[in-house]
Amino acid sequence: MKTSRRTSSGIKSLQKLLIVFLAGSLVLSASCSRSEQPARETRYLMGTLVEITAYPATDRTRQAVNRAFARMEEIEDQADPYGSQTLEDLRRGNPSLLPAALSRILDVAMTVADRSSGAFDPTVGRAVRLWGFDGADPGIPPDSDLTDAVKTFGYSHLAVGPDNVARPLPPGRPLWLELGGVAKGYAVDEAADILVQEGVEAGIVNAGGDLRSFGPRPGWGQWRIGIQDPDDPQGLLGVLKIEGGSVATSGDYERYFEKDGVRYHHILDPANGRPSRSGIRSVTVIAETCALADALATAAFVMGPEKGLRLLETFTGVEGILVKAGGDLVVTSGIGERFDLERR
Amino acid sequence: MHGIIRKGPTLVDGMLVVMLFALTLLLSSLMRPSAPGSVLEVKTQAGEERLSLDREGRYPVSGPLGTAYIIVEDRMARLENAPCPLKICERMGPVGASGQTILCLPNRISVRVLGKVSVDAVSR
Repeated sequence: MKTSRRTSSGIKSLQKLLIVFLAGSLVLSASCSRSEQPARETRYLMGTLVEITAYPATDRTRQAVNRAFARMEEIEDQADPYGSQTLEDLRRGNPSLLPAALSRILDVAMTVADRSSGAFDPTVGRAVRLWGFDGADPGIPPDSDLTDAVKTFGYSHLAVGPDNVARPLPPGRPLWLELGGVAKGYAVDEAADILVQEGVEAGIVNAGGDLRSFGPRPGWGQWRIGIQDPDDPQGLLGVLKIEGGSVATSGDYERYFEKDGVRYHHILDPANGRPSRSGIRSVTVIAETCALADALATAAFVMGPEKGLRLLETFTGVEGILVKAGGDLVVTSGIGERFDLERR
Repeated sequence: MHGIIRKGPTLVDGMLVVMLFALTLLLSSLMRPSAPGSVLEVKTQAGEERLSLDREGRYPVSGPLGTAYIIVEDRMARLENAPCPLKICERMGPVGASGQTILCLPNRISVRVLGKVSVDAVSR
């Protein structure tokens, strides 16, 4: 009977301990669950759907998200190819004072143009308009129009002086700048910077698949970024795990039309003004900034698997995944365990 | 020992069972990977609405270019009769798993399957 009483009191103590443990676990799990709830907002900007996800979901975070969107709208106005007076001046062959955002966007664009020997060229705007990928009626332009357009290409014909004035070289030469992708990437960078400055702990700014993340992702620690399978609009090629930074992808499935069984996509080769046929389906680039990742993804796409890979390897802190036309992958040497292949 | 075995379940036992059950539910909901979703989040310029993947039908959805239709059948959704020039959105469906998205940028329509997802974003 004595033993029985002792056992009984032992079990009661165990029950009490269990209750304390379970109650603690429940409170902890519930609080973890709450802190993992982000503020999330989506808007149409710069011709794409922009989603900002920011942790934790507080009023302060929501105010920061609104400020980030406001900054993206400012950049959209400055880089709008149809509304920017600066870009219109350059199309007419006139010099023009660059607004601050346009100056930084152009700086990234010109750096990548130079390092890729013109595989990425921000002056292909005339051909982009002829193909109509940015409008309602895309189609194959006449050869003669494309030949004329190619004559307007050439990033070396643009000079930006210390006075921040962009000048066509020689004076009077029309320059049709196409800054869409880099401008979008720059806007993503600026939005992310604002969120960090406003004290947001972690977040991700995603502009149609070009994105920048910061802070430790609540719950997972790392950000898990799916990479689209070029052959399956809803499938993932794999998942990248990053602790912050930017990811951008250029692929032949983003904007395209088909005629007589041929796919005409929007990534143009500055050598001829036509959709690039370099043997690549998509290029995904990881970099510190989204503007750089976007420009490098386009450059590597045009250069092809071997030269494109070599280009990416020359940049510090840059990694890449290139999907060849047959489906084979080529990756940079530092990608390591950050990428899990998972075609699904 | 016999005395204890004969005793029926106490209030404390009941509390333990309830708390264990609640903890299991909470943890499983936190750790669950992406799964088939059941609700569609539809965003347009006019605002946001939700559709159930359980209710088959043809739902009109309008944007600046005109009206497209969301077709829901077999717990999957796709866009049909899109007025955009390239019709890429029609080729993005059907979707049915959590996180899968159909985007029509020219007509400013997005359709996303809600639910727990295994990735934070998709780079495309």
